[in-house]
Amino acid sequence: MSNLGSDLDVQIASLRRYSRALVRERADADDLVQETLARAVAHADQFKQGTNLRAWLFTIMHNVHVNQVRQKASRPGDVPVEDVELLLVSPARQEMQVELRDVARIIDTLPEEQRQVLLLVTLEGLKYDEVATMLGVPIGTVMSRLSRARESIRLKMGDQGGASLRRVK
Amino acid sequence: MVTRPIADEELHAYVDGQLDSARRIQVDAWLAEDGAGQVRLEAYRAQDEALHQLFDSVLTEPLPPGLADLTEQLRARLDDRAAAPVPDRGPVRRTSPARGDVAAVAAAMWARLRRWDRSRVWSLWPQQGWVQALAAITLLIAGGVGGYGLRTGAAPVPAPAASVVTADGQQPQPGLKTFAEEAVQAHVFYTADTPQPVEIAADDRGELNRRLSERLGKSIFGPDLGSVGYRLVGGRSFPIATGAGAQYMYQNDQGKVLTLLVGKPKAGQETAFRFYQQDDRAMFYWVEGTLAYALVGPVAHDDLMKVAEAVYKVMKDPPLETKRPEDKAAPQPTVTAPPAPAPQPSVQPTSAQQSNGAPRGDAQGQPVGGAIQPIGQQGADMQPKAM
Repeated sequence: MSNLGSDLDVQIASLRRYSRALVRERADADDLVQETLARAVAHADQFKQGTNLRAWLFTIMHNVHVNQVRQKASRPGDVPVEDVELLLVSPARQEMQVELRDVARIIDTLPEEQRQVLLLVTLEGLKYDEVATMLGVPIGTVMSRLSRARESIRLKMGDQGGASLRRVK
Repeated sequence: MVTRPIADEELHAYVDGQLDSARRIQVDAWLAEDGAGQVRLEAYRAQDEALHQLFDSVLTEPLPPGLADLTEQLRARLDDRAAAPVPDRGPVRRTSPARGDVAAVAAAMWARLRRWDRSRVWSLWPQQGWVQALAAITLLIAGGVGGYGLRTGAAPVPAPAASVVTADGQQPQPGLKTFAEEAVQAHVFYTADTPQPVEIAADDRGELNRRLSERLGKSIFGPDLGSVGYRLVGGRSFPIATGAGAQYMYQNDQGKVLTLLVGKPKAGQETAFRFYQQDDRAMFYWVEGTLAYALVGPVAHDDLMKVAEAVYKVMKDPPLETKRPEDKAAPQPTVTAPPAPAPQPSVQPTSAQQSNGAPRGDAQGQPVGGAIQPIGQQGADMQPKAM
């Protein structure tokens, strides 16, 4: 797409971030990216120049993920909290880490379908229609999953979610 | 004021910057009167920020060897395809000696930057974003010298008013130019002969930055561009497609006025660089971290790029006052411009890491409607549909 080569690097970084947020365990997450890239290389001739490279790669990743989950039966909720702490961008205030960990935990309790949509929209900035195409569901489904995910987190964070999360900046 | 109730999905679309501008203004009005809605909005935005805090560090982790290999394989495969003749995009993809040189320089530069990245000099994504912006700036400067910059204007882009061209001369994807267009529209509108070009004067920069940061929900500041002869006049905020936009206005001794629009990038635009030239007006758009920037002014390509570089330097190494938005007064930000020329970021690993701790602002600001704003016919990204 880009002669700078930057676009591909950026997209792969995004794939890794999404993968990590989705499956959490570092090795599993990179396995998912690896398999995605292998498939992308094999099917590179199917990519149409000038079309959305990101959407193409994320769609491949989604398909790979669905297959992997099917194969080895996913382990939702099986997330070592230590992993999450290592991911923190900066060793900031303790309270902030605690809150972020709470958010991470709550996200893990979301149904997979809601978690996917939430991460794709908020973390990766995909448009609703891109997500709908990628997941093969109507756009209204994307929006209601997103709505339910965000409301779940908000309610589970309770009062502290409103007040203290705001300081997580 | 609100013609129909705000649907749940519409509040989410508002948060995500995926609501059309007409409806967005109505949501603004609704939020102003609905405390519960405001609470939800802030909670959702806080979640958004928390997710980034949790996972953005993955972006700059070095690639494991297996992934790096596959990345290069994929790059090669995609480049092969890019090099193949594509009839319907022929004019845009036409190569020329100048273009080839520029591409080679950019590729080499990018390879170097990637190596630095892997050595963890660039430990946070925003810095990497700047690296890319810088690569693009340098590319454009190099291109301008070779005459390439002028040629981009001739690309057969079916845009109504002007051509938006990516750094490598490609036609942008449909729907990817809204932020840039909004920046230009707002520039034209507010620099026209209006009684109040700025809403908040720059007399008190602390107040200016604080108020605009509050409205954006992100910590921002108007960079000091004295090094390139522009002084900050003031700023204002107004609704743009992705929420609130903050516009800083600058003027030089010749009376030329530049504006810098800051806001949330549109989905799909997070990694783009755009240069845009229309008549005697130039625009450069880029993204750093979670914010998009568009610099617009009635200047030539090369001059705009110099200003863009100055913005880059100040943003990369912000004055101390702006690192702490909770500080009450932020006096004249002092620019401590890095000594090295822009394309050699390797000499500044320390400052790059220091700015990792830059705060992202307190997100209590709500997008502000009500200002006269020039945005007319923004295409709706989507019309929310009920389930």
